[in-house]
Amino acid sequence: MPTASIDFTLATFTMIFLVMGAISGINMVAEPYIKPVAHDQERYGQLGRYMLLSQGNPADWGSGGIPTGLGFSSEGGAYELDIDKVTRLNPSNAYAINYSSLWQALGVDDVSFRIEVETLFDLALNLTSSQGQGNATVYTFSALTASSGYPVQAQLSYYVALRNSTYSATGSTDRMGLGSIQFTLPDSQNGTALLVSMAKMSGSIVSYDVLPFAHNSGEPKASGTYAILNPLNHVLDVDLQQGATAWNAAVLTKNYAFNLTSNGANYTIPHLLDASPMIIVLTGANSSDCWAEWVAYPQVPLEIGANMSDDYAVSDVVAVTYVVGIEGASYRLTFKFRSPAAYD
Amino acid sequence: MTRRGAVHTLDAFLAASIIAMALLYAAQTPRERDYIGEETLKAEGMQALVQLNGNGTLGRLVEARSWGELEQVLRIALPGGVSFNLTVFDEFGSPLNNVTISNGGLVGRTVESLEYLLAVESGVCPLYRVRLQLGG
Repeated sequence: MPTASIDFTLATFTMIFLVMGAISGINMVAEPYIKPVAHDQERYGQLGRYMLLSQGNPADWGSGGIPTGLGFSSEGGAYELDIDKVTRLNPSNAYAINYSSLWQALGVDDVSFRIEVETLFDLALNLTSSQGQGNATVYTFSALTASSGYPVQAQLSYYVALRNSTYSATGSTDRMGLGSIQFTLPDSQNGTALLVSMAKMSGSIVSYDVLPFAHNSGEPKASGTYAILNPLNHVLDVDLQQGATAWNAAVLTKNYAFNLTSNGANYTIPHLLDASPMIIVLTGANSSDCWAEWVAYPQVPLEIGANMSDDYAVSDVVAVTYVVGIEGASYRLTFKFRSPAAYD
Repeated sequence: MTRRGAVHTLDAFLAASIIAMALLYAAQTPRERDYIGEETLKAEGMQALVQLNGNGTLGRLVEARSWGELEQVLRIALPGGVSFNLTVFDEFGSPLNNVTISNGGLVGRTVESLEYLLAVESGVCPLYRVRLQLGG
């Protein structure tokens, strides 16, 4: 074979390999930047479903301990979440699990996530007016029910908790999502009062709001000033502050209101069939104030997880939303995912 | 044909085959990126229907022919920015809702459709077919 032919053949193969190598190399380098989000969306969707449909490990990690596998499902049907597993996601709960533990329990190293749980629509209460009438004061409150700015018509239950008393009333919001209610409170009592309202739109679609207001007293102090309430495993753990003394604990739902039984420093929370979040109200006093504190059980709305609000990250975030059930009531759960390793 | 001419012809063939192979390879490689993953709209719509049916809301509203309330429930249950149009069919395929159950028509870059078989607990246990079209 002449030398020229060998050179020619070698040059040919070299060219082929160079061209293919260049294409392959560029493709490999560019792949993470040009791949469509469909890959990520499916993967993140599967991760979200896994967390919502599995109970985690151990299956009862909601009642205590650190999970080694992450799942929020209860023993109920699909997308029915455990009330305590969700409550432990709220950073303000004393038994909350931090994001680091959640991330390790999920066990997917290249994915960071954020979890948000909220009611399906919003209820907003406002004090419109207060007027003295004899030896009582009449308070007028307004209520607004809406979902993403769209008005929602709903049936409402109202409660006012003041010292050892609970006053109740019912009402509704109209097609514009507007409603109002009046309560008459005796001037013989004073202190911080709580207006609690539950709004039911249909079936299991419920929302709530709580409005502290002053009745013949100074402005209400910030939540947690006199007592920190931590519901878990159907027990209300009360951590009293500033020498405060507790008087009365009550649980309020859409259809029921009753006092809780004290179990030493704690209170036992009953299992209810009412499709409604529970608002637990604790009233008491210290040397100068009659106070009222409250907590929701499950403790929503909540947000936990990686910070995904910065400009760099926000364009890479994939959000997956689900409608989930907790103790018969429906909530919206949003997972936000991103894979920092693919970009950093 | 001279010997030089034959070599040039061979050169041309080889060059053409190199370019053709490179183009073929380049065309093959991105094909794996054309993978169509899960349709997000469909998944979100189906999950919302499953949850609403799971707690009995969907069946109760369809059985009571409460189309206005059903529209309100879907407005709340589906994510913001998703448009929908829902039709309920009976066992014979006839549409039952006599009003449009929609939040203003299907709007969006993508439109997807899903069907959900709904059994309602009652004396005659009727079956309904729910067609949900989503835009987003």
